[in-house]
Amino acid sequence: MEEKKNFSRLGVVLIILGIAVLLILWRYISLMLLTPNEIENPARQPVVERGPILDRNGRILAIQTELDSVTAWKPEIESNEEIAAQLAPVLGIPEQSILDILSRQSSFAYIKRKITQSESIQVRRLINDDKLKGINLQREFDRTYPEEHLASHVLGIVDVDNRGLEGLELSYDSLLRPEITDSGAEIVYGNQLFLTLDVNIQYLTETVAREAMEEHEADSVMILVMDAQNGDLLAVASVPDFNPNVYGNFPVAYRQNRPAVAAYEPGSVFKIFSIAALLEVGGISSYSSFVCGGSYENPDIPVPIKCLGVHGQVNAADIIKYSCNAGAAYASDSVEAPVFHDMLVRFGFGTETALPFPGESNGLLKPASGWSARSKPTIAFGQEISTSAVQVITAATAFTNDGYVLEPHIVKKIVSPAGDLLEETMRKPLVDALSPETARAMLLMMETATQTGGTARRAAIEGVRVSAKTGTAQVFDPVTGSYSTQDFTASCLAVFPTDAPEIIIYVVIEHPKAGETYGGRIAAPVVSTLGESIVDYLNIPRSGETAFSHDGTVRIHGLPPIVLGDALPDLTGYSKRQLLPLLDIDDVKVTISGSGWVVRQEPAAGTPVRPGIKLLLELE
Amino acid sequence: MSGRFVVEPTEKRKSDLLFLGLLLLLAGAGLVAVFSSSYYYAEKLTGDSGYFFKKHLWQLSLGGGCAYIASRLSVEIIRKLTPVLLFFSFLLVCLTFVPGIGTQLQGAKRWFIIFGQSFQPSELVKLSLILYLASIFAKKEDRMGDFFNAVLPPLLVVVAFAGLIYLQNDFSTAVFVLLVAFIMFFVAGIRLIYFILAGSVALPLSIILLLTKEHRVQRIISFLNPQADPIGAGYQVISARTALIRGGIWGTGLGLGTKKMGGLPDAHSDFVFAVLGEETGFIGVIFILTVFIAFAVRGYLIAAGCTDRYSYYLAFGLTTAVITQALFNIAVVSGLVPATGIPLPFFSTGGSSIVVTLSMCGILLNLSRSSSKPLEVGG
Repeated sequence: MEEKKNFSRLGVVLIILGIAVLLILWRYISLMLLTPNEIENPARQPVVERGPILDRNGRILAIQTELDSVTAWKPEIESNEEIAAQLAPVLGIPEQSILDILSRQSSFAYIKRKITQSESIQVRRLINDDKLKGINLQREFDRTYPEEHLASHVLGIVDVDNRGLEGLELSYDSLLRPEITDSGAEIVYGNQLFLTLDVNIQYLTETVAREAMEEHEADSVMILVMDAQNGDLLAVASVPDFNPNVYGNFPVAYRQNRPAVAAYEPGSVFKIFSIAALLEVGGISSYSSFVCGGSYENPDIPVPIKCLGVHGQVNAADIIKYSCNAGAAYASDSVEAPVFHDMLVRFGFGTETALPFPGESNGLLKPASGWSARSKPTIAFGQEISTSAVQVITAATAFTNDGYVLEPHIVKKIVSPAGDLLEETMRKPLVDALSPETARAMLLMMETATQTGGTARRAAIEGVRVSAKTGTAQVFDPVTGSYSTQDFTASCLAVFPTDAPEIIIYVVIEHPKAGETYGGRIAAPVVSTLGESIVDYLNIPRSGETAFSHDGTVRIHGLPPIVLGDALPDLTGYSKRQLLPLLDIDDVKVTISGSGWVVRQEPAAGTPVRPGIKLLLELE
Repeated sequence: MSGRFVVEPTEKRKSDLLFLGLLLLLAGAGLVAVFSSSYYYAEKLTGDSGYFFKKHLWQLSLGGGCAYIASRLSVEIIRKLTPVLLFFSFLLVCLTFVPGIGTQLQGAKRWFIIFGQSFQPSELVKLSLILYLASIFAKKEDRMGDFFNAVLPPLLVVVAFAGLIYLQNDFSTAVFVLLVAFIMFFVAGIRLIYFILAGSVALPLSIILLLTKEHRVQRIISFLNPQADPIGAGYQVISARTALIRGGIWGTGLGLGTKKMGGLPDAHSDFVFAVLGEETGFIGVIFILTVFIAFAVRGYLIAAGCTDRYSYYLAFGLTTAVITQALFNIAVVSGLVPATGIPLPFFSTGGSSIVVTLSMCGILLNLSRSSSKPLEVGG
């Protein structure tokens, strides 16, 4: 009885073992008999060609190029020393490091990846001469950034295996670098990424930014240019920058995409948002006036907040025009902290924008419950709040879109390798922050700042109405725990043309050290310089000029194809290429001398064509 | 010779010649596979292409000697020696934790060097635990329903050993020891409810232990998706796979495989079967698999022929230990289960494994001699 029971349990064990054997057997059958023996040959592995990144007009910003890598298959190598001696001078690496690579355990090794064309030629010659047994050249794709420094922070970098590490290369890695599928294709192509950037505007912007950084001995300069109507970023400049082709040569800090990741106190530029907010919620009207006696005083705060000047009686427009801190602070008394806070949230402060930059900053906007008595008046003129540059320029779209904050864009469209449009970004209003009237009123107030006596008068552009606001923010020094006396952030935000806004420019000069630190003195002129170029480039009409537009194409009337009739035609002006069909005619003997275009012909035009005629053409 | 229990001298019985033949076949095939899979690496490493072969041969002879002794000793003696052996194993496992005695190889602390030979005590544990379990189950045969008397003591011993082996960073051997013990508990007739209870504790626990070491998680990931890290954790799995695919039906020919030339790490130890598959093809794989199955069948027949419970449990446990190791290893090589450190008996190099496996077979031979004739134990 007991015996029987145990044997039944033995049976269970044997059945399970039997099933295991069958599973193993099936596995070996499917591997060894049913799987085609192809995976051994590396040439059969599909190559992934990472998709290009282009500007809005299709100018290439990042593309794949093919380069050779030197590889070693050790079982075929006869003498490590000889290989090292041959390769070291060609590849420019010490013999010892080649020997080190060759003495490692594995049979396959890369000796040097992605060598230059001329190195390739020399290595190939040695291989052909049979001097490098076991050494091979393997084609590999490499990422190339033909515009070098241009928009480097936006683009980012890839690693040696073409995987995105930073910037849009990282954010869009899976779109640019598709998964290898078993489709049998030899090359798998990635999608194409079209940005909203315009290479020309980006170039102008970076040039201006670099000049500003040198002139004012600043730590860094950021300039953003946005299409005021749809939120497309036309230029994102940040200096210092780097060359993504050789990013290792630059300090890591240079690779920081500061417009997105750096949070700083925006200073007086922020008044346009606080005054707009106060107007919108009805705390103040454009007729409300306040008295600036050189400081803001409030029984709740022990130390008065100093203004940069004594502005006397000021209204909302004056606060913007003269950048009066006390006025802005007094204006903020008209609303409760939560109301003011909610309005700033509607502009998008305190949260990152929808831009796909890795590591974008949220900025810092404390919840109203955490505000001190000093917070509201201080935030009203742009201190005690941190923003990123992309947040500020995005918030400014409310002024140019009847009060709607737009979604900011850096990617225009995504196109499949076959050319199909996969995704396109369109104008997208996010939040209805202001009434159209308030938005309009703010632009007009900001316009007064660029007029005589205004703090942003140096931002003026010849013949174009400009609305602007400057800022000079103190920088909080974490070491001393108070505001630094040397470091400032000078900035200027400008919208033009005021009556029909097309462009928003935002300039931030961080820590200028060459004496001048005021936004109105150093950031506003940058707006002016850059604005002049952009107005020309985009053909924005200037007052006093006849509006003139040109579609930008030049039509060239080509010469008609050569037809030999009864008489010789006049060939003057034809190019050598156009003459080629003549050489195909059997019974005409053509002699061409020189190069360029036909200047003389012999015999002259009109001579009857006879078989065997000799035609002499002189080109210059 | 404790004549008290012996009814008839066992020496006069014939050994199971078929079983012996299978052993010789496996050992011979293993020797060939070791040479073919190791000569390249051995030449690179030591300049002597026969280095691993000679070592393996020496260990085979050592194991053969042990097997001979085990097959000649009286079963009663073996049973009497069990507590000593168990304590000795425990001592050795503990010794690996003593600094200066234990040797760390490839990140795991499970060896120590004795007479210039590395020795892995956890291999010995496999043998002594089976001996112990067979003995205790036979002794408490009629009290198997009593949890505290019959189930708990062996359970504690098994868990203690498995725990120590786990602490040596040898998760797979710990699991293997638990598995074999579990099967023995099962066959010994423990009530099924205990298995359900034990399972509900052990399963979550083993998952936690499994996931607490990075290299194990890596192995699991590389098992599920070898391509995720093709030059790191997934490398062995992919290499073994390519070797098998290259092998096809007839193989590349003995000694002519290329994967062992650096493409497949551990080609001569845990992954020796991949080299065998590449060089002898599906035919060779089927042949070896058949020999192992024949070994198991013969082993279980010996068990079934045993008339006393102790011999039955012992023969069953030893056969199970060898065959499950073999199946585990063969499954790992084909990528059917995640990579573990379970060697292939008779084939993988590694002295402790060979000596212990052969000793196990020696005991099986011993049991085969006594099995066909009733052996009255304890009146």
